Amino acid sequence: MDTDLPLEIQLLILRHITHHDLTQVALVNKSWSTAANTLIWKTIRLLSISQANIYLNGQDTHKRHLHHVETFQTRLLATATMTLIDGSDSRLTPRLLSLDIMLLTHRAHMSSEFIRSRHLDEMAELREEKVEAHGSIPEDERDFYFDDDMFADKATMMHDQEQSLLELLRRNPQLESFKLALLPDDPQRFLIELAPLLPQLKHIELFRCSKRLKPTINIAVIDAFLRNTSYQLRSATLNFIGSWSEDEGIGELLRPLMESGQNKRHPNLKLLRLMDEMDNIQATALVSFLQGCSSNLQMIETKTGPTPYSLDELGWALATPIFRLLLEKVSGWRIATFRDTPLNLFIEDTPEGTDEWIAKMISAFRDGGGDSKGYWHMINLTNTGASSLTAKAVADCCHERLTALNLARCQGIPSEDIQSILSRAANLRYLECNAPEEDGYAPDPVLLGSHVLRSTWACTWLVRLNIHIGGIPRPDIKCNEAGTPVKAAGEPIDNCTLEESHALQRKIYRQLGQLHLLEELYLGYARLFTLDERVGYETYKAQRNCLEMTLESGLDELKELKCLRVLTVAYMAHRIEAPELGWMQKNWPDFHTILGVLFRTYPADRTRGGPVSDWRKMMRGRGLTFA
Amino acid sequence: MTVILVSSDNQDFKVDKEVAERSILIKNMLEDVGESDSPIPLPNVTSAVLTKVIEYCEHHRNDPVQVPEETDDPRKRSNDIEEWDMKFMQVDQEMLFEIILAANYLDIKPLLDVGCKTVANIIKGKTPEEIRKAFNIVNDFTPEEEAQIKKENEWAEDR
Repeated sequence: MDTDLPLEIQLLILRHITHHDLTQVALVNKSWSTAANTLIWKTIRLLSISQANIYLNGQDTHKRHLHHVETFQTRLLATATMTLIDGSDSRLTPRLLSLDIMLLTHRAHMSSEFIRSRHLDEMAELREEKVEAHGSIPEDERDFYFDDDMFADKATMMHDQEQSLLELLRRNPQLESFKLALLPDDPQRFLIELAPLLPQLKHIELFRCSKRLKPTINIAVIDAFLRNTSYQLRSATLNFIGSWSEDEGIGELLRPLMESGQNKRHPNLKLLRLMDEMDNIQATALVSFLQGCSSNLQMIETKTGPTPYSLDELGWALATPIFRLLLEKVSGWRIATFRDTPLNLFIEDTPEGTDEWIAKMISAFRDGGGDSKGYWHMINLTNTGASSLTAKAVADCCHERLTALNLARCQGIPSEDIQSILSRAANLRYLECNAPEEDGYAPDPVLLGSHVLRSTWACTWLVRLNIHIGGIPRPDIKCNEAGTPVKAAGEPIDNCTLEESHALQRKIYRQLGQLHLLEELYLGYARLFTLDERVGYETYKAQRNCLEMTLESGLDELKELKCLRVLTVAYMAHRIEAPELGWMQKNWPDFHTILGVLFRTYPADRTRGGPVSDWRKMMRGRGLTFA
Repeated sequence: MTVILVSSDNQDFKVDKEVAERSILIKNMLEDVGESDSPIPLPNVTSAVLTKVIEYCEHHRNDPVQVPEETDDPRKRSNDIEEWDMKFMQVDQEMLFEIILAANYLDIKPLLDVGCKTVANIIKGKTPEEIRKAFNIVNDFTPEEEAQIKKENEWAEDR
């Protein structure tokens, strides 16, 4: 008997299976086929030419399923506009919620030409031409990833492309997320035209391209854009160089800020990222944006200096002291830096730098009654004596506004407390728990794998996570890099099977895999020994209780980290090899740098993968930066 | 306090209120009528299925109320079914579907979840023919339609 389940339940079931299994279900019968197709065609990601070819090859196949599409991500603007505007039917993609136009790569550009002509032979010809000219296809054209600088001329839209894109947006007023890396012909005009088109928009990211291509935009235009864009906006990331007229003095800008009438245009806006480099004047002007946003705005990020997310110099978030003062005045935000513990500069006769003192400082401000109550926005505890009391004080306040936290070189911070911070700090964007090795500094804190599983992390806005996860039994490591059995060197061989270790690791990856906005993941660089233990350090160069980073151990749980760009695994006894690298490039569209991959046969009892030289070549071939 | 549930084939089931309230549907009904001992008719659930459902609710009577789903992509997570639930779900295909439908109707989300994961586990790694066999499904495609879908699927396969 055929008891078919209703579509809603079929969908619930099919959410648990892979793409391959979905294609099998699509062949079972008509009812299951409908359900499977809903999911198969829900997300369209066209990153490489082969994907675009297959997608468009079946003549009108893709059109039959356009009504299923919810997410469309591509490096090929032409494919997007052609696919989504084709014909007179304006309801082609009624479910489309998310559109992401990424930077063109050379390869994608070639294929967009191909798509225009819709002619396979032409593509083959193009290839042959290249082979003829170069003897083979130049290495850089086989690459999957390209530095955007190399294709600067391809990062700009032609006028007609721009118009098609706007037309596409006009037909999809239901869009909730829009990302555009390309530059319009006239960015200012584009912004003005774009603003009113998408009334449902919740997330927007514009012009993420190389630094030197960033458009210059008048502050009035940005202001107008923010005022006219969707009421529902929750996050806005705008890459631009602001232009301000010189006679806008600080006093002039301060005056309206001190008046209370706030524009409630974006009651939901939580995150505003203005990826500009600023001087004092510009920073001051920027604060005028605050008027256009509601008091719910919890994060403003800007970047200065060469390392965009470096917390050391307060580089992001608070570009200058004046900006910082203004922010504190307007928003009530607070920044704590106890860096390098010269605390006696601030208060005399205190046991400066001790755990108790720092903890008191953190809670005192927070608990201050009436007007003096405030929120910690950023806390930097680098190389202080911060320990469990401080950690608990941070954990108690981190759910409010805490955006950035630096715990590097705070060896005394207990693992449980790091976990409890991660489980509560819903607004956290940056967490640093590692610092590069330097003489005379304390080691970094460690988060134990067993603690990671105790609770669900709340920090889903995290962009950068630099943490040392340890305490994972690794029965696969039986000898050190010299090939000496580990046990002989005093390291116990973990009393657990490989399956058990993998099961544990998979759960940890799952937790990490929920951080969908993560751009940089630093798991290595941990120092396991103080300098007194230098001998030990030399002997055990790599961390032996870290994540294995293999697909077998559950790396595939990180599949949804679609924003990930940088992964660091230095000083880890990881086992990243060709399958992992291939997987990373397939699943992380923006991925371009991996640091700390071992090019030796290490650990010495390696069992998988080909000769080391082969995959070093492969990485180069794929355009990955590595060290 | 107990409540009486009546299955579609008119059998009475006396269960603790706490157990019955694992079903959000019943919980809401009880809240609506207030203090009343009139039996609750469940015209969509047979006694065989209701017996199973009550067995599940009894076993899970002390579970904390489920927190809202933290993610919308639970893909590949069907391997975390508890052992008891796994055994509980070892029933024939027809009963499995009936339990899922009942869990959906009665609004017992954890049971619906386990049921869906169980079906997903059966589907995994199988060919279309094997899936049809497992669930007694008749192939209603013409050979042409089948060929068409295979061609379309090339797209999904590449990912």
